[in-house]
Order: sequence, then C-alpha cells, then structure tokens
Amino acid sequence: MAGRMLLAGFALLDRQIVDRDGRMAGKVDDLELAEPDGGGAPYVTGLVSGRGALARRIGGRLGRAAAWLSARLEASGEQPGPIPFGVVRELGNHIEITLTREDLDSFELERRLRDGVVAKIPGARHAPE
Amino acid sequence: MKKLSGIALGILTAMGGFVDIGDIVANAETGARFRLSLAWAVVLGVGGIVVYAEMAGRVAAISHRPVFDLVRERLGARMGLANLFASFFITLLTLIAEVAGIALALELVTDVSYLLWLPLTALLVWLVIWRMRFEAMERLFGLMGLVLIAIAVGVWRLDPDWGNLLGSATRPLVPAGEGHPTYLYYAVALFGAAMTPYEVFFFSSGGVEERWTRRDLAISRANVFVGFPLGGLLSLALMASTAIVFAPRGIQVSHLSQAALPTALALGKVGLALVIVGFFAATFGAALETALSAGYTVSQYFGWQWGKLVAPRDASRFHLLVLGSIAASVLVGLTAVDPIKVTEYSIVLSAAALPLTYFPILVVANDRDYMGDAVNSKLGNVFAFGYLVLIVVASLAALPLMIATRAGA
Amino acid sequence: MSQGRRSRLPGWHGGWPGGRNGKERDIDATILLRSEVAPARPRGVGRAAVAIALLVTCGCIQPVGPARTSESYRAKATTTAEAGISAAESASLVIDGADEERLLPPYTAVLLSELEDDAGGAASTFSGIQPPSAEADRVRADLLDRMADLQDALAELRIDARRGDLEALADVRPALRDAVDQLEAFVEEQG
Repeated sequence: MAGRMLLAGFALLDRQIVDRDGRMAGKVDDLELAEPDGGGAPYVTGLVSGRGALARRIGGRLGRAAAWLSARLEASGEQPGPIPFGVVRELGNHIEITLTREDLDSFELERRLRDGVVAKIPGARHAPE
Repeated sequence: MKKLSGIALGILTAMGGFVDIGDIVANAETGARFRLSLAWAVVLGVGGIVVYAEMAGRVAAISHRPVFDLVRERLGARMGLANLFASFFITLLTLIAEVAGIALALELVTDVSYLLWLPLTALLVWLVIWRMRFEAMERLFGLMGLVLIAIAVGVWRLDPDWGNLLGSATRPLVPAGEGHPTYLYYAVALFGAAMTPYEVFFFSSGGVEERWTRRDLAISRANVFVGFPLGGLLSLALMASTAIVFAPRGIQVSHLSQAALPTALALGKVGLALVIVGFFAATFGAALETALSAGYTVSQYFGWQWGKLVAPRDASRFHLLVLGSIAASVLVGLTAVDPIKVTEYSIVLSAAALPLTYFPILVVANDRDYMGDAVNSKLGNVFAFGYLVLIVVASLAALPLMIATRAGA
Repeated sequence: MSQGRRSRLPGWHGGWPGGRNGKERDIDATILLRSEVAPARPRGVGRAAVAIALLVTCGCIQPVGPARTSESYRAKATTTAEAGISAAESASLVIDGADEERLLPPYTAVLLSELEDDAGGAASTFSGIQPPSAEADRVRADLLDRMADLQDALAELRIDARRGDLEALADVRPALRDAVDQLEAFVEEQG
C-alpha cells in the first residue's frame, strides 16, 4: 500500500485554502472521494469549496436554508467541479494550491461583488496608505 | 531604544484602546449604585481578557491563524456556524452601541441630537476603515483615548475619603436596598464589559495580518500584560468618580452625559472637554474594531479573503460585510432605541457567549501540533482553566440573572 | 492502488508532519468526516440568540410592570419617586457646576434635557399603571402632583441652558429643592 495515510477529516476538512498569490480562497467544505479499483480504503481525489457544499454537509433545516441562500447568490447553472487534488502544493496549517483563486468556481460570487459593487467605490484599488 | 519606545507606544495604545462604551456605561452605573463594592468584577474581567488575549496572540503568532479560523476547525462546520451566528449577533449589537456612543459624544459638544449625528458618524467610521492603515488607525484612537486619564485626575482632585472608598472595594458587601441577584447581574455585566469577544477577534486578526512571529511575542505580551490592566484602571477610576459624587446622593446613572459630570465638577471645563474627547476616541476606536470584527468572523469562517493589507477590491465580501454591518447599526440606531440599554444587553450577552470562543482557543493553545513548544505553561494553564470555569459560570448565570432582575432594574 | 492515481499529485512536497521522514508516499486518506462524527445539536444557540434579539428589540423587559395589589402599587410609586429624586439631585449638581463655571453650555443643555426626560418618563410610566384600589388612586394623584412640580423645575432649567444662560440656573434652585423635599416626604410616607 503506497498511499499516505492521514485523517482527512482533520488534515483537510475545514482548512483554509490559500492560492499561489497568497490570497485566501475559501475553505475545504467537503471532499471528493474515490474507491480504489481493487477495494480498500477510499482516497481523496478533490477538494470541494463553496457553492453550497458546506450547506449540504451541514444538513438539516439550517443546511437547507443555507443551500437555498447559496443557490440564490451563486447560481450559474452547472454544478461546481471540485478542485483536483493534484493542484495541492503543500498541506500544513493552510492548504496551498498552485492555481489562483480566480480559477476556482467558488470565486464567482466574490468576482460579481467586486466588479458590480466594490471596485466602483473610489479608493478600492489600493490598500490603505 | 527604538524597540523600547515601540513597546511603550504599544502599551499606551492598548491602555487607551481598552475602554469602550460597555466599560463606560457599566462602570459609571455600578459606581453610582454599588460604590466600589463591585470593583472585584472589573479586576476579574481584566485578568480574564489578559489570559484570553495572551493565548489568542500567541496562537496568532505561532500558527498564523485568527480566532474564527480555529473555531470552525475545532468545533466543526456545524457547531462553528451556530457559534458564528451568536458571535456575529453580539458583535453587531456592540457595534450599534459604539456607533451610538460616538454620536452621543458629538451631541454633548454640539447640543444637536445624536440621531442626526448617526449617519455622519457611520460614514466616518467606514471611511477610516476603507482608507486608513491598520496600525495608524489603532494608534490614533488608542492614544487619543488616553485623555480619559483626566477621570483619574478628577478622582484625586475630588479628595475623597480614601479609607472609606477602598474599604468598599476590599470588603464587597451588597448595599442595603439592593438584592443579591441585582448585585450579581451587575457583576456579570462588568465582567462581560471587560471581556467583550470582539477585542480578541480584533487582536488576533491584527496579529495574523501584521505577520507576528515568535519574536513579536514579547511586544504582544507587554501590550496585554501592562496595557490592558492600565486600561482597566481607567474603568475603575470612572467607577470611583461616580461612587464619590453620585452614590451619596442616590443618583442613578442612565446617560453618557452623567458619566462625565464628576470629572467636570472636579476639573472644570478642561476636564469636561477631555472626558468628552476621551469618550469619542474610545467609542470610535471600538466602533472600528467591532465593524472589522463583524467582517473577520464571517470571512474567517468561510475562508474568504479578509483584512486591510490588501486592496479593498481584493477582499470584496469582507468589505461589503463591514459596510453592511455599519449600515445596519445606523438603521437600528435611528429607530431611537435607548443606546444605553443596547449597551447593557450587549455586555451581558457577551458574557453569555464567551465560552464559545474562549474554549477553542484554550484547546489550540495547548495543542503541540499547532503550537510546538509554545503551548501554555503549567502556570498559564492554572489561570486559563480557572478562567474557563469562571467564564462558564458567568455565561450560565447571565440570562437567568437578566430575566430575574428585569435587566438590573 | 493504481500508478495513474499517484501522478495526480505532481507538485506536492509533503507539508504534513508525518511525511517528512524521506519515505515519500502518495496521499491516501483514512476518512473521518467530522460531519458524521459529531451529530449536530447546536441549533439552540441560534434560537436563543433570536429570542434575545426579539426581547431586546421589543423592549419587553420593562423596569415597571403591571401592579396587582396595593402593596406592589406602592412599591412602584416609591421607585418612581426615587427616579425623580435621582434626576433632581443630578440637576442640582449641574446647577452647582454651572455656578462655578465648570460646565460648557451645550453639555449642560443636553444633560438637563435628559434629566427632564427621565423624570417625565418615570411619571408617565407610573401614570399608565392601573391603580388597584381607591387608596391607590390617592397615592397616584399625590405622586403625580409632586412629579409635575419636579418636571416644571427641570423644564425651566433646560430652557435656560438651551439659551446659553447658565447663570440663570441658580434661580431655579429653590423650586428644585422644594420638589425634592416633596418627593422625599412621599417616599417616607410610603415607608
């Protein structure tokens, strides 16, 4: 068995994802798993972030309300794809990935709010001086 | 030498920044009603915020993770979300109180109703967050808050019967005509006022954002161990001032304006002006911290980009949360709810919600996976777990006491 | 595990503590999803918060509630008189401060108008309580008379202060003193 064993619930789930520019890119809200062909322990193939994933995981009435809200805010039709595990560069206190957050499906709401609202306020382009 | 002056500046900032509307209201009210017989609750509360902020600061410096990031990871997504709701609600309630406090301070200078000042006040708070650097902002209002030392000078000038005054502090008795539940209710209020959770959200997020490392721990600890207790002394001075002037005359404090009266009587116009400026600085600084904390808690739970080091457009959701919270606080304030009542509720509910964020930080501060050899020391844990018990007791007692005493009536 | 899977982790260089001993291994995960481990029970907190939010916004927690007996009516009357005395004593401190030129006019006006509101608020809350007996009717009329005198004195102070005439405040002192004596006598009578 060549796999590295770790507690996915602890080392991955709910951790902060940081993109290659050091920007915060959401949390690991859920995991995509696969069963090896020959049977055995399942392994992680992708990280699911945003887009109602958290709501589905929380479940219950609260989860359903959150899922509804998230669908309102982020809906774009197609189901979000998980972040393939191959782009993970480092696992530590944070999970660093080799993409920028703008490449992720979960960035859609941030992009819309940025382009539609925040970028239009004077002074939004520079950090405070 | 430069480092030493940096430490001194940090301490003074922490001292001036310690006091907020909750401390002002709680200390002025209890001084008038109970003299110094509840001073012990302030001392306990200051000790608690020292223990709590020291742990959160150390965790921020070693693991580079702020409070609400850890809350979600430690409590899980679901419990973390419930925690987020409670913490966000209380932070918002505190923000309403602080913004109204700024407007009340402006009313005292101009005799123009605070309701008219509210929109302008909110705009100013937002502009400072939008355009001012984190450190500059913290320093400016922290140092401006130091003028509250005038209250302590006023107490000294009032030339009280010191033996009598200290006697009421060291032999805490429930005054005649006051029930035990009311006395305990105000004890919880004072404890909650000193230990408001937003202070720690702000402190730890600031530490992460300014990229504290092990080397910055000395400075962070100096701020906490020296700055906070000195700030607590300002709270106690306010309590003493109303104890001296109001308690013998049976005067109940129910307005911010009354809190300034003892110092005005002692020091005259200059003293009065200084106290009002101090109230303005204290509430303005706290409004900035609570508004940012509203953004911190939600963003850190969901993993969105937060903070003031990046351009606002790169932290859109965070900045919209801050803006929305400020707007909401003005709208609530404009309904003319009594700001003093809002303040009382916010500090008592703070006490009720405290274990929700204290406990995860305590666990992480003891976890070698995160902290390496910087985990709590044995002595540190004696205090940290002692306070855990105290915080849980205060939390459980807060709401029953609030109902039993009709919020201290 | 198939070799194809391993190639999905090209850039990974083992930040996890257990993986640093040179035995470079592929990622495999023992799954322990927290959502399955911790059966959830936190909704109560949210609900409590909502309940409290409602309490706060409705202002349901009132210092003076309804009175069912003469006894509790008298207690509420005493509380009301004490609130009046508190406002009057505050006002007399303000007059002292103004006399010695220790106060600024806008501050004085705001404080006096708040004290006037306090006295008025206490009186109107009390006046809204249904008196349970004929004896309570007399208590009610008596107290509201005395509170009205106090409110008049406080209104006069507020008017002078708003005009910036802090020197005139001292003229109201006798009326204020009288109102306080009346209220203190009332508290005394109620025992």
